[in-house]
Amino acid sequence: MTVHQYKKVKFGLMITLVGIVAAFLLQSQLTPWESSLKVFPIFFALLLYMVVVSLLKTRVKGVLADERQIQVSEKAAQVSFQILLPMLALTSVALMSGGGYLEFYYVKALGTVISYVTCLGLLIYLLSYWYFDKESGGK
Amino acid sequence: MAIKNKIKVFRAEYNMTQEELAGIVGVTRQTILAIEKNKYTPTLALAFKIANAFSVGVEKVFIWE
Repeated sequence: MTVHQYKKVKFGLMITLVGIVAAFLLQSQLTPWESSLKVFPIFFALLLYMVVVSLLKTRVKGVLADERQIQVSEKAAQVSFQILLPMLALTSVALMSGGGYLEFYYVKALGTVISYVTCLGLLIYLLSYWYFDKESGGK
Repeated sequence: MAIKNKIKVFRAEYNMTQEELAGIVGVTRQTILAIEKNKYTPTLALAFKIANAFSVGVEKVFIWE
């Protein structure tokens, strides 16, 4: 299988997956988490997609991602992280401080959850930085 | 100061397409194009691979100027 064929098949599979997820979400009135049975087909479709894509990857003849593409992807991830994290932090502060004023109990709760997500993001960054620094010869 | 290269010159000398060189060194054609246009600086490993593909030293293909 060539890289071009692989990309075509992967795109087709992704569209199918999005269709399946959307269909199940609509079928369960956008609240599939209320019943584990409703969530199951979505998880199954996701799992199947991941397995099929990883199997297809092994059959590809050619370069899927070279060092330039990896560098581009790393830069994009870095920029996304640099934008997303301050946004999340600001949103959480705004929601937590405005929650009482707005008198919506869930606003404050949502702000708290977002602040934890922000902390988790920072923690993952610190741990991965520490790991990769050690890997590349840092103390 | 920047790293320039003579990949295009060597390719012409060896009558090699970007696709062929990319296949030899294990990257995509777009990466060879980006290196030729000095838009991407390859890693040392890739620089050596490219030089090896032309059977010359890395300093003959890549120049610090």
